[in-house]
Amino acid sequence: MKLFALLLLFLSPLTASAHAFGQSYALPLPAWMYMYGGAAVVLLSFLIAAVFVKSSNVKERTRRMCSVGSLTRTVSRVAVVTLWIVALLAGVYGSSAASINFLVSFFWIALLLGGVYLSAIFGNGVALLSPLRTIALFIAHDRALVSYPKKLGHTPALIAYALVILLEFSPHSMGIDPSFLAGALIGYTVYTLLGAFLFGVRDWFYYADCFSVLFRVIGKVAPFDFAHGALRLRMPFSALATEYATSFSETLLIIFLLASTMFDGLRETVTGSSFLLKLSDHAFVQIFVGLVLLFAACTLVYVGIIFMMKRMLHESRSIVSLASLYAYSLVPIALAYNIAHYIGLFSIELQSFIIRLSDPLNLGWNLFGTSGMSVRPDVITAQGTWQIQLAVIVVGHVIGVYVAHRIAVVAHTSSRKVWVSQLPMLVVMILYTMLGLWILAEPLAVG
Amino acid sequence: MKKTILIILAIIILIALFFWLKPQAVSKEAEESTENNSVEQTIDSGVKKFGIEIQNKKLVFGPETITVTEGDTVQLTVLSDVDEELHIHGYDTSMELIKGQPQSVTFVADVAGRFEFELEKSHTSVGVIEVLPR
Repeated sequence: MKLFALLLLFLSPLTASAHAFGQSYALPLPAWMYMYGGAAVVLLSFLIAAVFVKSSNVKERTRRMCSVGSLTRTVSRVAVVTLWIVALLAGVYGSSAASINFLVSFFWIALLLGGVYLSAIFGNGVALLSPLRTIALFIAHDRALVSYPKKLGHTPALIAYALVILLEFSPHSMGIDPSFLAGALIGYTVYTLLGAFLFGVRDWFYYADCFSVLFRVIGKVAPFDFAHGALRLRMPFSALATEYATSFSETLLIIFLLASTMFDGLRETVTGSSFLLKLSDHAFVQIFVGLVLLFAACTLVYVGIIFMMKRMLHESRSIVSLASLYAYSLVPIALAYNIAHYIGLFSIELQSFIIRLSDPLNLGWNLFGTSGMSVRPDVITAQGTWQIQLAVIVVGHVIGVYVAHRIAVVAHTSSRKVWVSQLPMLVVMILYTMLGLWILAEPLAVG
Repeated sequence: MKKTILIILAIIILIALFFWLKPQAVSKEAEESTENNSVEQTIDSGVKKFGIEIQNKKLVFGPETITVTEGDTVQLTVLSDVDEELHIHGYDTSMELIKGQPQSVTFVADVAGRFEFELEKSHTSVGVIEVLPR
């Protein structure tokens, strides 16, 4: 509520004016900031490697903050389910213009970006609030007809998330066509409910629902989590070091999260767009092939580094096991790049979401008094955006390196092995972070 | 002790790097890049004037990227081969384009950022205005 009130302060009481969906007014990162970020990343990486060479105890300490009663849980779940239904209705019956349709703003901004950022604060609380999970629990009562095939791991979630990303990048504005988006989400709702009914709510939302998996993974960085009906406080990022990816497909999903955000940045640059033009004349082929190539490259780099680590340590564990063990150390880097890339868009479109919330079905309502407000492009200034981008990228990298060290302390018996295991991880993290910085600093293409 | 020295050393290097790499005045650099950026730009009574021509919904004359500095007064003159509407995003400034007649819009670039301008009726992006922070 505080965030809502704060944002209202930023909104000036002017009439709503033309505003296309998906606008980000961020300028490319200045060259000097790119160079500074790069130097800081390399320096801090080696500092962490030099300082934290010895083993230390890793424990996840939590402190119970307050209980979350069943009334609070029920009210929150009903509110989120209502929002989901209203959003779908808005897609079907609301305006056909993406710039004013509630579903477009709700799904891409509030749910997908807002969900990620709220998960980074409230942990697994956001995934537990999933409207689809609530509906599934109401219908299926967590009974399974057959057991979920664990061999599949998180593959259904990875495929579903890849489809969401393809929809986001799709040419001809398919992803922001309200009726198309509503159709896709109604289809996903039916698919999810069927899956939950068949395999049980718990397993389906742990392995197969892409939003729950995404928010749960991001939630591992959070200073809070929900367990046993209570909100708990814990050391931020500690869950990244004490838990690990339970399947290789979960590892791939984390890499895909990083690669897809990078691809979104890269395709907007002069370099990226001219490369995509060389791939094909068809926009969809450009996007599909480009995304697959970058994802494959990021995966190859990570798996290659893990292979190198296995050789250097003479490890008996498989590459898949080691890759899953260290996968969560990439989460801070993926989250940092997500914030850096989308901060401009989020600051603009969140205002638009608040405006649309007052009249979700485009019937001329003004439920919360925000309908007549306009979007301010300077809620975060250009310099502020640069500073946030640079700070989150460097801090995300430092946390990633630190988490990898904490994982190594648990995973390897001797200090020497801990230290040796960190060298390849440093390389992969510096590579990912430098690529992220480089994309942010590249000149942008027009159109 | 060794750790503390390393951390202090790293902080000193990072601070020194920051002041070494940070440009003295961003606005000066911006002015220079603006002057080098476009031959179509003229400055008259403090107003930075740019002219572009659009044919078949494409830019055929003038800069695709117009670079100015925050606080500049910008005048954009557009010659179009069809009746249209040009909309500058972010500033939400629009102007009616009349076939064969140059039309102008003047505004103060008081918000830094990268703002597309597009042909509103055909949803075609024509170029961008980059307003660099002062």
